[in-house]
Amino acid sequence: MLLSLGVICLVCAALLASVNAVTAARIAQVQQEKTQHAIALVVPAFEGAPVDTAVVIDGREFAVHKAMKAGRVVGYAVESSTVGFGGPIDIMVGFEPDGAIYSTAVISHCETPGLGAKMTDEESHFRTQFKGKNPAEYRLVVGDGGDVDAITASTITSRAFTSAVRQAYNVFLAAKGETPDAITSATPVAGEGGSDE
Amino acid sequence: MTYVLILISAIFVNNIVLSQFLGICPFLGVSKKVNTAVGMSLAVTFVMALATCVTWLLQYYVLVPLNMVYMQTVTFILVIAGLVQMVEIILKKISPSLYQSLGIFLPLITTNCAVLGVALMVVQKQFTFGGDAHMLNMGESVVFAVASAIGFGLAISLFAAIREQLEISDVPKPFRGIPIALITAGIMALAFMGFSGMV
Amino acid sequence: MNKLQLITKGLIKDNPTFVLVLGMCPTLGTTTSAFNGMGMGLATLVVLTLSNIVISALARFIPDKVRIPSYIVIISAFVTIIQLLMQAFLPSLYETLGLFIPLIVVNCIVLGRAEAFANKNTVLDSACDGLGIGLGFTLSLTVIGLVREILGSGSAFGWNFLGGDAVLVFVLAPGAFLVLGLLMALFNRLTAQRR
Repeated sequence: MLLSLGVICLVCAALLASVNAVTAARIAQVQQEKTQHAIALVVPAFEGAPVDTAVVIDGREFAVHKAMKAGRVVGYAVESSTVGFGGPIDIMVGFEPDGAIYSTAVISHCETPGLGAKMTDEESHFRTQFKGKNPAEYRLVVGDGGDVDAITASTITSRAFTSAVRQAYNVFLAAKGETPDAITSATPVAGEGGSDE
Repeated sequence: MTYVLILISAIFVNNIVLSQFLGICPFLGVSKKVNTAVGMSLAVTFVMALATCVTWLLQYYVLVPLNMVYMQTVTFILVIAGLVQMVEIILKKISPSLYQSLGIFLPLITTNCAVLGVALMVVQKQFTFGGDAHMLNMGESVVFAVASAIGFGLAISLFAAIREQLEISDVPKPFRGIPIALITAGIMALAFMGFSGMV
Repeated sequence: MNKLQLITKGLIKDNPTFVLVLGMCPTLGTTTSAFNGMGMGLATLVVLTLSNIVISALARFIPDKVRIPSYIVIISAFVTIIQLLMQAFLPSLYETLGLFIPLIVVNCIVLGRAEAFANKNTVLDSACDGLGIGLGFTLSLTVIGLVREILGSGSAFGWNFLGGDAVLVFVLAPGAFLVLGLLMALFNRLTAQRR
C-alpha cells in the first residue's frame, strides 16, 4: 500500500526534476530579458551589454546598470522599490549622465486595476511628466510643495512611485560619485531630449 | 506593531474570502447555519496555523537548501492532507465531544484552497508590513495565517447570518440558492472595500 | 454515452461553473478580463485531461486506501509542470494568474473528476471527460471574464471600444461576485425555459 504511494511520489519527483532542469535556464533567461527590456526602455540608445553594479544606501542594496556607447556612459538605469497601496512597487528609472530623468518603467506592482495600476500606462501624463526633468531643480514630491501631479483618486500610488524615483536619484548620485570615469563623460549631450513625447 | 498591522490587514483590508477569493467553496457550502459556519472557521484556524508553521519550516530548511523549490506544491498539499488526517485521529482520541462538532469539517479542509493558498503566499510573496517589502519570518507567517483564518471566520459567520434571513425571504426563482448568495457576497465585498487604505 | 457526448456535456448540461458550482475560487479570482479567464480555463483543462488519463490508466494498481493521496500527488505533479512551463514560455500570463496556478491542485473539479469518473472508466473516455469538463470551465471563465471586462474596463479581449474606463467596480472584487451571481441566475432562467 505505502509502496505504491512511494513509487508514485518517486516517479512524480523524478518527472518534476527533469521538467525543472529543462525550464530552469529558460525561466532565468525570461527574468534576465525582463530586466534588459526595462533598461532599454529607460536609457538612450546604447551598445553592447550594460555594465551592472550595485550601490548600498542605508544597508539596502540597489542595482545600477550603466549603458555604454563608444566607451562613454550614456545612461544609468537604477532599480528602485517602495511600498504602494497594494504592496511593493518595483520600478526602473533611467538617468542621463547630467542627472536628468530619461524615462521610467514599472517592473512589478500589486496596485488596484483601474486605479493605481494606471501608473503602468506609459503614455499617461503621470508617467510622461517625469521625462527630461532633472531632480536637481525639479521637486519630486506629489501635491503641495512638489512639482508632480498625482493620478486622480490614486494619491498613495502616485506618492509611492514618486518616492521610488526620488530614491533612484539618490542611488544615481551615489553611483556616479563612486565611478570617477562617469563624471568625465557627464557632458549633457542629450540635452532635454524625450520631454515632448 | 508589525503584528497588529498584519492582523488588521489580513482580517479586514485583504480579507481572504472577499478580496483574495480563497476558500470560496466552504464559504458557499457550509454557510447556511451560523453554528456550522463557526465550527468550520475554528477548524480552519487550527489547521491553517499548523500547516503554515510546518510548510514554512519545510520551505526554508528542506526545499531551499536542497534546491528543490519546484516540489513546493506537491509537498505542501501532502503536508496539509497529512496534518488534517492526524488532527482528525488525535481529536477523536483526546476530545470526542470536540470531534463531534468539528470532525465533519476536517476532511473538507484538505481541499479548502485557503489553507494551501496561505501556505504558498507566505513563502512566495513579499509583504510590506512595517516598511520595506520582505518575506515573512516564521512568527509573522503564523500570525498572518491565524489572521487570515479569523478573516475567513468573520466573513463566513456574517454571511451565514445573512443567509439564515434569506432562507425565509421571497427570492425570485432563478436567483434561489447560489446566485442570490453570490450577490449577497458581492455586497459584503463592497462593504469590506471600505477598509482599504487602512494599512 | 459516446465520445462526442462526453466532450459536449460539460458545455451546458454538466457545466462545472453554472450547474455543478465547482472551482469557484479561480472562477472569481482570475476573471478580470476575458483573456485571463481563458488562460486559467485552459491551464485547468490541460491539468484535468492529463490527470484523468494517468489516473484512469493507474487506477487498477493503486490500493483503495491510498487512493486520494495518490491522486493528489499525480495532480500536483501536473500542476507544477504547467506552472514551470508557463513561467518559462508565458511569463506575463503567469504573473497575472499568480497564486491561482498552484491552487489548481485543490480545485474540486480536478479531484472530483478523478474520483467520480476517471478511476472507473477507460483511458479514452476519461480523456474525453476531462476535455469536456475543461472546455466547459474554459467557456464559463471566458464569458465571465468578458462580461466583467466589458462592464469594468470598457474593452473586449483587450480591444478598448470605449476609449476609457467604465464601471470600475466590476473589475474589482465585488464585481466578481455580482457578475457570477447574475450570470448564474440568467443561466438558470434560460435552462429552466428549455426544460
